[in-house]
Amino acid sequence: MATGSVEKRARVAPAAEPATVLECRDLNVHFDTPDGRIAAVNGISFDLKRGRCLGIVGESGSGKSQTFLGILGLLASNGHAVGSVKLHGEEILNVPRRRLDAIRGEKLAIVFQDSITGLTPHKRIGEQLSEVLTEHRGLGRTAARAKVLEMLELVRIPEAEKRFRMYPHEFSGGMRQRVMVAQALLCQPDVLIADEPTTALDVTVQAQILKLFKGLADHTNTALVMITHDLGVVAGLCDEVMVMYAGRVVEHAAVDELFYAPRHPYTRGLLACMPRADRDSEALTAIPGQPPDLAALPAGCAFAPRCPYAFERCEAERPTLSLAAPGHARACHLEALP
Amino acid sequence: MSRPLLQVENLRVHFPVGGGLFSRPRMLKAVDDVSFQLAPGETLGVVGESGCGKSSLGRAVLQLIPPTAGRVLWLGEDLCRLDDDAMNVKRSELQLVFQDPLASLNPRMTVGGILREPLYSFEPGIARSEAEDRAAAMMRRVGLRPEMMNRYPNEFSGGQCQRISIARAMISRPRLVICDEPVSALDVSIQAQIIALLRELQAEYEVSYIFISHDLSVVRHLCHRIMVLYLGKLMEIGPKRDIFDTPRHPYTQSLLSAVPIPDPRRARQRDQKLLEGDLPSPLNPPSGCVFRTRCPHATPLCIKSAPVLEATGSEAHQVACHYWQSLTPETHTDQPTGE
Ligand SMILES: Nc1ncnc2c1ncn2[C@@H]1O[C@H](COP(=O)(O)OP(=O)(O)OP(=O)(O)O)[C@@H](O)[C@H]1O
Ligand SMILES: Nc1ncnc2c1ncn2[C@@H]1O[C@H](COP(=O)(O)OP(=O)(O)O)[C@@H](O)[C@H]1O
Ligand code: SF4
Ligand code: SF4
Ligand SMILES: [Mg+2]
Ligand SMILES: [Mg+2]
Repeated sequence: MATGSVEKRARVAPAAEPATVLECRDLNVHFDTPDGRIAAVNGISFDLKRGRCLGIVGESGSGKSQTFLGILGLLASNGHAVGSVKLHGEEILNVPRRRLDAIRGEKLAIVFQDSITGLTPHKRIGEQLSEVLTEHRGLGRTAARAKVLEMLELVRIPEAEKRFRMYPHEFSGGMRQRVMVAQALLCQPDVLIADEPTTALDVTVQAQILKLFKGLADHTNTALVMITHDLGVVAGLCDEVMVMYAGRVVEHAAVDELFYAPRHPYTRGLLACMPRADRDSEALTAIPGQPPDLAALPAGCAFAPRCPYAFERCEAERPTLSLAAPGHARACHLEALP
Repeated sequence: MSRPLLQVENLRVHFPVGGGLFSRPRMLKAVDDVSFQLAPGETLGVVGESGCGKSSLGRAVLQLIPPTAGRVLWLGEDLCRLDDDAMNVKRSELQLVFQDPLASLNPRMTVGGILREPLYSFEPGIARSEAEDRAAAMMRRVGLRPEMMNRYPNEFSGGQCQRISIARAMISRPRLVICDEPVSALDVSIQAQIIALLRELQAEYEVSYIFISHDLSVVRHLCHRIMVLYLGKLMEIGPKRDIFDTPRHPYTQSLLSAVPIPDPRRARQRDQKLLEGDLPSPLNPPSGCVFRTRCPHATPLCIKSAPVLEATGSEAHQVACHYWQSLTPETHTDQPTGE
């Protein structure tokens, strides 16, 4: 297979770049704990474009969720977000709660991994979903109901009319997750953030939900953020990918670039250690060691203790994100990977 | 194949569910009429959606839940007929590794204690110093420093706890270890480490594995043969090659089609045949073929009659579908690209 070369056909550099919806600049999230300050997210910048999908990949604790909880003003009480996040040019980071609630209902929506937490247990599904529209859009009950039914059908809930009157616990995990997606889409948000939306689901149901997201990305203007630890999920869905490690972005590139020409040792390591269902793999090259403890990060590159290419400079100096090729950034002291 | 280590015949695990003063409980058929064999040193993968009976099957083989019917022959001896004492002696040969590493370790015991415990129970009279030496050697073998012997499980990461679980299972030199989703809770980079460890230990100890997993990528990497379950029933079983290259059962085909592939070009080209709908309730499984409510090829015959497992030409590859002969198997192996 011709690795180095990037296929031009697919999705790379279309005639006109779609408009930027959300602009995140130098976002930092830290938590104050009795043992000191934990820097969970450091210096993250990216743009979300209309109708595009950005994948955020990393192991647990790498800062994927806190990045977006920070943006949405949903951090735990000991958490603080610093930086700038603009939605259609309007600064939304740390704006008053009332303004954020309004934005969250209308323009930015989030779907979490655990679909139970996103739904109120003692309320009928139809009622919960209609409320979103009556409250945020000022729709009447009949109009709201019609719209909700339309959405439930869009996410392929069978017998939507009947399900309208059921409670969350009467749905299977996969169906609840689809209801969550329907709820998030009700107000036709400009940005939909999906935080590991399929991690708890069977592959068959995961495939259904990913297809739903794919349709969304291809046929609407919603900008999608897919947070996941699974590079397989990203490959089929995203246009662009950011890989996070220890609270920082270590690589950011178009999806084909990232998979076929990774430029950070960690990304390369992740790709080499994943078994694949579509080919035999004799030996996997495991990344040695463990993800670092954010409370005790090394001074230099956080990946150095596990990196096969680490040299003196890596232990002393933290690499910053810089372009290695047009549209392809990585944070590593090496000019090119060996 | 050499003489089977394990022969499971018509195994059933039925749980009574509900029922009250005036109503009889209904039977949930978690495992229904499942038969298979396992050779020494072999790894059999068990796959299927959540609730299809994978864990129940594993536990019934180990007699941790009593099978409702069927036989579990261990080197020809039926484990279902052993009393508790006789079964406990056998446990040195049949071990289990769980999904949740931390929850499966006693929080009040040190790692050393956890590893010595099976030695004291399976080799009564073993000298303390020998037990300590063997525990230390086992720790080293699974990649942990023996100096950590006196620490408690909560002082270890998830991956390290799974190493401890594996060490505990291996220390009595078992011939079969049932691994129930042993890497599912771990980070990608740690998964690969544990998979490599399981492979090394198999080569060293000639242990057999029953590897329960919902992740077909991991199963392909680790298993020699694969068994596909749906609502407690065996749909297809065969050598890995046959399952991935010529999957015969429509359910196996849709499972394979649903696995995400970490390769953008392949992912774009792929024509995924996705299952519609959700799993039916296991308390009220469909008549005839249990897969028929989601099967794209179902006919009236499938409603009336349940297919039986048939050999597909190669004796080792068996499938339970009325129409397997007329369905085209689609390979799920990437075509060689002349690397
Ligand atoms: N003690 C029990 N009483 C009643 N039903 C049970 C019991 N244990 C399991 N079941 C049911 O038996 C079926 C099979 O369960 P099992 O745990 O074997 O599935 P599994 O394939 O391991 O699923 P998962 O992938 O979620 O671990 C399920 O419907 C489950 O709800
Ligand atoms: N309330 C909190 N106090 C202290 N640390 C926290 C808090 N919430 C999250 N963290 C830490 O922030 C880091 C990043 O977490 P998160 O973004 O949730 O990871 P993930 O990449 O798995 O989504 C983790 O190390 C986590 O322990
Ligand atoms: S900066 Fe050094 S240690 Fe870090 S990834 Fe690059 S080579 Fe490895
Ligand atoms: S027996 Fe019928 S329903 Fe069952 S898998 Fe075969 S075609 Fe489908
Ligand atoms: Mg998270
Ligand atoms: Mg299970």
